[in-house]
Amino acid sequence: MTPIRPVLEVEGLRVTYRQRRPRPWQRPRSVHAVDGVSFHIGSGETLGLVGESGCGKSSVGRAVLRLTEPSAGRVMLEGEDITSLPPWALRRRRGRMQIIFQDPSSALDPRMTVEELLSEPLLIAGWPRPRIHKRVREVLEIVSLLPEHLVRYPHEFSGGQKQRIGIARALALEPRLLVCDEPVSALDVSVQAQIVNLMREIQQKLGLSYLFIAHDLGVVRQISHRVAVMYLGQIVESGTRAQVYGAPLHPYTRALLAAAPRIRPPGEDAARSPPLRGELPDPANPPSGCRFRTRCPIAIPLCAEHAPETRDLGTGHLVACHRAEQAGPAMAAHPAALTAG
Amino acid sequence: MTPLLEVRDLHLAIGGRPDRVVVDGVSFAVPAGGVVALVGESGCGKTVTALSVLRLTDAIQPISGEILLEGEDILRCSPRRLREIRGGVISMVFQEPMTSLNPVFTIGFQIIEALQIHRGLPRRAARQAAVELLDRVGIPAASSRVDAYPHQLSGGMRQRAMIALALACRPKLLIADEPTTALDVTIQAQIIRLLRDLQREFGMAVLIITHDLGIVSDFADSVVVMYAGKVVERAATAAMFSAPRHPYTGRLLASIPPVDRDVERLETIPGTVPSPWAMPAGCRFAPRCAHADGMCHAMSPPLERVETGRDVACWHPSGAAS
Repeated sequence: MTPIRPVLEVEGLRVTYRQRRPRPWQRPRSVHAVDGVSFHIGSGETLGLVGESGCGKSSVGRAVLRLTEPSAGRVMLEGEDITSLPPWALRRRRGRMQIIFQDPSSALDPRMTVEELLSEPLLIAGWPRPRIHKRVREVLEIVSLLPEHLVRYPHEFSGGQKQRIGIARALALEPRLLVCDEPVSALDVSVQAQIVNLMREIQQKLGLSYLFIAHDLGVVRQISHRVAVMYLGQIVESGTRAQVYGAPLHPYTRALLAAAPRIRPPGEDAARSPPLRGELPDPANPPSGCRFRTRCPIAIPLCAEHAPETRDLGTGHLVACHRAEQAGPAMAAHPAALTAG
Repeated sequence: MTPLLEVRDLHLAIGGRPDRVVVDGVSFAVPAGGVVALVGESGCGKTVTALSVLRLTDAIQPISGEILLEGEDILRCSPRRLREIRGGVISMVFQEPMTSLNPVFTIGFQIIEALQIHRGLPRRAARQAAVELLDRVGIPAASSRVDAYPHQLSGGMRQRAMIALALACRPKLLIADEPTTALDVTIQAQIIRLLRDLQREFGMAVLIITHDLGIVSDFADSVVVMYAGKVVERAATAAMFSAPRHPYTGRLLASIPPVDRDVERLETIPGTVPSPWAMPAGCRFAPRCAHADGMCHAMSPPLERVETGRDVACWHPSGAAS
């Protein structure tokens, strides 16, 4: 799954939100929701972006599409820098990058039929009517819905079917990149599996790239080729699926994997791995040095002084941790032992 | 031995109308000090079943069946007795603590109120007990946080406060409705750990309602699986997960995306859950079941004992252990 030419390259991305002024005469505080994030996605590849709520993963997705304007950094789509394109020029490129939202009920206009919903992006892009007619039926077939569904309204569908409509609409303009923001987390587990399978099939058929944002580590594992883990606005670890899940190096990744609820074989006691202590610090006022140090079981004084550089610890396995080597190989075999410390 | 809570052949219907049945003959028991999980996908009736134990549903009313708390039928007790049971004998933790805690009172006030009403403690002692409870559920600086309003706490801390409130009167049974669904995984793990520790410490029974089977395997002694308003399988947790006997349970377990291995293609359940107003005549899972035959489509299978400690509602239970 090595990319030939990245479809998406992101360098040093920052997203800053301004908070309300604490007092009328004071300056508004700003929160760096995304603080220096870099990654790339190859053609036909899925990058899974995981992290807990408030870590900035959705902000990354929105900034890539410039639905939220990045405050610094570069976003390159198929080699072209789109960060500073004026709106009219950006609009012409929007067809190449589309988004699927978490809640299909609120992402679909309840007053439009499926045909209208699927035609809208094509109308905006200025396609001629006969081609729109044909394309709508093509994408409908890709997501396994039937032509008779075209005259229905969103409320007549189940959650899984609504998400299929959302996917069909995103595919209409033949994009190269789909940003998928928690596309299955509102769905029941059996429906979730249908959508994940469908998305994998679509990718194989059409060769498009996914930025797959989710908090469910199981779902991300089953759809991603590579995975990036975010904590408090930064990527702490990234690598192939086998690297991140099989030999996690960052203590946060290990804690996340240990905390993921799973069906354990009889005899394996969950009590072996005590949960991560503490909670996410205030993103407006992150800890000095390494942002994870306040919850890290292996933090040392250095971690409070210097923010760790992102280092390549072997064939693209990137980690931002001073102590990745110390805790590394021995821990991979027993992820539970680490959090017990 | 009589179980602490026994739900017998419970039928719930919208507005109590017999043509609008949403829970159709559900039976299960929670032993004293035991942890039972009620699982199923959205719309299967698990939450209304749990809410009806405390008679917290307005639109949906019981039309037949019994809910026995140590032999006493909750469906037939007086409003006065019901008030004693709620919070005193059975208490509840909800999914979203922000909407179930009262935003205009401090968390301390809400706990103190419960202690004064149910345990008759004087104000000062109640406040002291509230601080101890908040401390016990892992809220840092409990003596100052007791005066915090719900919005001043994070999601995880609010859920801890909610648990402290639920435990204030030492209930015999705690009903937890999706207690961690709104929380992040690391916080979720903390809350489940806390619930398990408290359950052991207080010796209380827990009825946990969830769609997350991973949580069930970490926490519950036994599992009740619901599908389309009926119980399809009841068994001890380990037995359920190692060898599900109802085809629905099997397919549900198989469709969970595993976090510890790669799979080529995720298992799915074809089709969709039937509408409550258009239930199949026979087994409700038959239209989606690979093993269904004429019998399945014609007659609804009863919930029957198929092996020690396991009941299954299926004409052809899979993987017979014999």
